[in-house]
Amino acid sequence: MASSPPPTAPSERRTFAFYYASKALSWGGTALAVALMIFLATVGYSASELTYEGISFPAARSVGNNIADFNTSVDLANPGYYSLDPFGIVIHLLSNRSVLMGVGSTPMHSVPGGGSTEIPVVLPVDLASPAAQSLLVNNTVLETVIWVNGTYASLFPLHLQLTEQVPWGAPFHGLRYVVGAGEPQPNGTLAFPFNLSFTDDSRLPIVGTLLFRVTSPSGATCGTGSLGIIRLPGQSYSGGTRVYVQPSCGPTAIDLTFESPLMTLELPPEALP
Amino acid sequence: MTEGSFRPNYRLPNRIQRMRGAVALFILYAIVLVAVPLVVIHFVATYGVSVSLPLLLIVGGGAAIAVLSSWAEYRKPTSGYGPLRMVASGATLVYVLALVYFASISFQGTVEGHPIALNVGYAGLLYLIAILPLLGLLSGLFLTLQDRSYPGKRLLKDYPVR
Repeated sequence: MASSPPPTAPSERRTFAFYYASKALSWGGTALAVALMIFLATVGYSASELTYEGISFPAARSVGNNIADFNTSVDLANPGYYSLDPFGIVIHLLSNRSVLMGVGSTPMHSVPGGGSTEIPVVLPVDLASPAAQSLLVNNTVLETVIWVNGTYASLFPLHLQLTEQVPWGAPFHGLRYVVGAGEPQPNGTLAFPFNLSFTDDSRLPIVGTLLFRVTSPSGATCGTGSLGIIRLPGQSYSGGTRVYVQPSCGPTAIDLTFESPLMTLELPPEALP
Repeated sequence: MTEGSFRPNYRLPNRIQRMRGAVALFILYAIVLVAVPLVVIHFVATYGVSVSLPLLLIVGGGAAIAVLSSWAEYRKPTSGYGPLRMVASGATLVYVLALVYFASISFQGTVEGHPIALNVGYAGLLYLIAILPLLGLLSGLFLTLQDRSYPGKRLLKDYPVR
């Protein structure tokens, strides 16, 4: 006798179709929950492996139109499983009086899982700005505020704000000029001996001309002079010259300007003795 | 076969057994959804990590889900099971979506001498988690349809005689 399939089988499938669908969804939910837990555990582990190297400042420089472009970089290691994508950086450079001196930013990057990247950031600083004037002659510590915006593992947007202190070396650190008493000259003018010294503590080579102008109380020019200066970073300068002025002018102060093909910087004025 | 020797091919748990199961589930949910989050929030706060979740939402939402889920478990042998699972899953879905508005963790402190402020959002994760109650909602819907179409038949599967 030939066997036939049990007549109840199709009926059972039909009878319990909704039940099986419900069970399938329950099991699917359980599997998804387990997958989510594994995902979260690996995200937590990977995120704990992220390492950030502080910015190096200034690593290099270029100057033009009084704007010094400090080329810094941020190193980020992401040895975990998930990417940091997209990922961008904004850096604010603040003076020691919390005045904004420069803003640098990067286009959005991607740091893949298991990789590391060095992200260059250009930080332009206007050396001719009032905030930068004291920085030309004084070494100090500046503050950088770094904002990092990105999305980790495609699901977690993150915003990081980091404040770092960075040393600043002034290009004319310790600028000191001594103007001696006026010496009468045969032609009736007064010769003021003028001595100047400073150290270039920046990473900017000082190549240019220091122009000085002796002024009267009304601001009129009594006399001018100049000194050619070439100093590499870290070198000190000490030199002098004489400035000839008419006594009737009433010289009271001296203005200094550093000129080079790339920049013109007004240095702090000094009163004459 | 006489009427007196009839044996149903499923065996329902008695009321005490169902009550025990429901209470156990309630305790489990209360621990996972209320106690653990409160302890974790308190613990990470000592390290300067702020989880901006309203405690009332955690306690209220977690307790509501625990009550509805355990009540559904208690009513498992009845036709009210499917609708109750839908209600419990719906409440869970609303709860998870409500958490989306507060889905950020922030940290303010000092790391290796540098002041640092970190904010991490996890709304995307919550949307992913919301799939779970959504599946539960659909599962409850199918259970409801099952019980409407074939009343009592589900008991053969849920409580088979071993």
